[in-house]
Amino acid sequence: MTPHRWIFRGSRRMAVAVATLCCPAAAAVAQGTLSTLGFGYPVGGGSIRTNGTAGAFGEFDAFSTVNPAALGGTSRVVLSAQAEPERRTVTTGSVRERASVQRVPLLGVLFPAGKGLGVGVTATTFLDRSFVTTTAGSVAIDGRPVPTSDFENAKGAISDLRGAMGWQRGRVRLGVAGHVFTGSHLVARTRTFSDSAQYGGVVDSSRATFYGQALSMGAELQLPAGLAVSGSWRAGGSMDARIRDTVRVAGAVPRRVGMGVRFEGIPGAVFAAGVEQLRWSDMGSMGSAVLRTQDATNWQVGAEVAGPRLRGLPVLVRAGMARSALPFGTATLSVRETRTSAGLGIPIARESATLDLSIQRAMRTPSTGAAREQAWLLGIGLQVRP
Amino acid sequence: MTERLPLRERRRRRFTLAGLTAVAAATLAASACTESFEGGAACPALCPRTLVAFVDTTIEAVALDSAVGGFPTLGLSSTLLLANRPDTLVTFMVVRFDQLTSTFFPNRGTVSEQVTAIDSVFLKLPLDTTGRRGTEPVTVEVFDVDTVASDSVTAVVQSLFRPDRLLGRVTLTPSLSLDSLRIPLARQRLTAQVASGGRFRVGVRIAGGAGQLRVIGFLGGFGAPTLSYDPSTDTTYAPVVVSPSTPLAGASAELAQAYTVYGITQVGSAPPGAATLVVGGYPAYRSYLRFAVPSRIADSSTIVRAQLVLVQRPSRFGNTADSVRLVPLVPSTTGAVTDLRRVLELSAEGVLAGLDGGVRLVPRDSGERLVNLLPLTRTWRSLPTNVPRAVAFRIDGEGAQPAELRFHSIEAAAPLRPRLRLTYLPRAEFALP
Repeated sequence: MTPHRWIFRGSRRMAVAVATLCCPAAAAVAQGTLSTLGFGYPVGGGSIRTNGTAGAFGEFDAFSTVNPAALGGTSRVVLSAQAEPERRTVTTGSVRERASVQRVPLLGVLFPAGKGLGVGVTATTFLDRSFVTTTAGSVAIDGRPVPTSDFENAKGAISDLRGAMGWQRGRVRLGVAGHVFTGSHLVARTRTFSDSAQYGGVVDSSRATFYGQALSMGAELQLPAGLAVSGSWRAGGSMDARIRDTVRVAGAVPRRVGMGVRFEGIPGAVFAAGVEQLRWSDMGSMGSAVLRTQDATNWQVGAEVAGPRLRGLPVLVRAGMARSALPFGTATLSVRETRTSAGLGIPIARESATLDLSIQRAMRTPSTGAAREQAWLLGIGLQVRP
Repeated sequence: MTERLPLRERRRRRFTLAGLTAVAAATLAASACTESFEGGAACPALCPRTLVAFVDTTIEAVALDSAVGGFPTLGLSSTLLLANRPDTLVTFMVVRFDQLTSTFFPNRGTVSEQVTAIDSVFLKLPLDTTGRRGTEPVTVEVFDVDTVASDSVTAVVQSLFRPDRLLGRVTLTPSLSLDSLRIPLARQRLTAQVASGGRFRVGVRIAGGAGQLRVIGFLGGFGAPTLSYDPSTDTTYAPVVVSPSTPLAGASAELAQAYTVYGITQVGSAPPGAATLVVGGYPAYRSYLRFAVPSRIADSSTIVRAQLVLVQRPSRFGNTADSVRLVPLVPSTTGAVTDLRRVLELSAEGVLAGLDGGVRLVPRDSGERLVNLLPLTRTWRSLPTNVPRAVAFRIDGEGAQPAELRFHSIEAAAPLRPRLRLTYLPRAEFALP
């Protein structure tokens, strides 16, 4: 067998294996997840490059939505689109439930505006809440329990639409951005009774729409010896939830403060670390009494190194690790998440396009209870510089 | 000429290219997977939700009730009850053969001949042999009930059931009868009518014993009564068979059908009386109940159980020990139709609206009875506002058997009135976690 044929066959096996891993025939059973509690999972708004380093480069990445200062000095128009499927497994005792989720969490365009100004418009997923549960229940009618089968289907997300501008002069970058948060949650419930002759089922749905706004700003300073530091701050404006055009609850977009450090002192390698604080409790007033919101302090470390060259350009190899607190829990539990990540930045069409790939392994653990959640988050992103 | 790379370097590049292609393809494939979110095993611990409780309530939601008699509508019953139980029920039956021909086609040939002599005249009555019929012999008598007087008046017709108009009789035991009854008739009257181009109207009753027969009187299909006779003394000729008809000048087809085959009740069931709803009896009653359900339930909730609570009173009419089905009807006319009889005539069978076929009850019993109205109540939200929310009831075998069911109406004492027992889920917004 020639090496070429061996490589081809090996690649095909790998592709089939990964596709099989992602696309099972059917889920084993039918929310009950740790990540989609409350208003949903905070996707993060990071680019695939950032995700490949578990979010460590977020403060320095022009497409990530945390620090508008990163837009400063943009020299070319860049278009970006990415997809992030997640495959998660919730283990409760001996029962394992699998789910696969599709997300297109970031679309954006950056362009230079002259004199060190860069402008960017991005749309990212802020919180994603999608789940389906099938549970056995019981209803008391005439004081007697009547068995039911309950089906709940929730689909929804809140998106972050950002218009940002960054400016670079010398070693300093500054940026400011306006955010509009919008989205909806549609929840449908079906309850059927085992005694369908006497009791009719209930099919009901409820839809809430969200609207909020925020302002963010940031700065980045290039220091000697390949060091750079950055910081960003998001001031949360009001956020409300409406049902049939009537404001039902109001809160605020969570305030955020973050900072990062980057080290480029070793040729061919970049290291970064970040820490952020998110005031998720700003959204607390928007949830019901059974919802618990917790403020989060998250940190990330990651690296990007030049790997093998492809058509004269290096393939970037990334890795990282993060530890986060998920914002929503129940009255009795909170959830923490640990992520390890890897990624590739593959130049295609010379410097005109880059294909970014990432994979993250997330382990989500509750403060109490036996449930565990593990997830594979894949990422594929394309950046084009026409 | 470009410099050729060493073999090892070329292999390394190919490997890199193929590996990256495979990773990209796998990621693309993963991105193309369909979504599936099914879960639930971690509930209720990880499924916090604010549940809205179901509400049980029993309300006096009947705004109007009424029993309307005279069913089935004259001439529209598929079965007629011929009964002679003088203490309870006595009924007659009239069949009109108003279109007699004076010619015939011998042996079903193509050449017609004049009717010259009539012989072997029979009235054939198809019978419904199901149900209780009686084991004592009875005599069925047939009378000539043709008159120039107003025979739409029941008393006039009843007066014609007298000996001098007797055309024929037959004695039989109802329980032993087959699927039809063939009664020989005197030929003189028919001969005269055929010769004069007249009509032949007969009345049928049971005399000489207590019993009952159910006669299939359905027109426009198989099983209607017929008159047959030989149009000639030649016995090889096939008899002429005449179907009932009564073309009434200036009358509607509906009215003509009503008087083609119809029944007359000499002794029947008692009217409902005060504070009573009757279903059945003879002639049969139907009962109508109109509801006024609070909009917080009808429009802003999902009803999961709806039962009409009726308090039954004992009936002393008919076969009080035999169970009989209370059949629901769904009135579908708008409020523009105010004649309750018309509303009931136009009501649809409840099974068409998803209701049960009916509840079996014993007429002599008493007590609380439940009728499942869930499928009906769930249609109310989508009904136009000008369609009253209502239900009606008829007795199974209406017109073919005398059983009746009696219930307290809304005029009765509070605990006895019809009520609606509902279990519902108030509408709630639950999209917010």
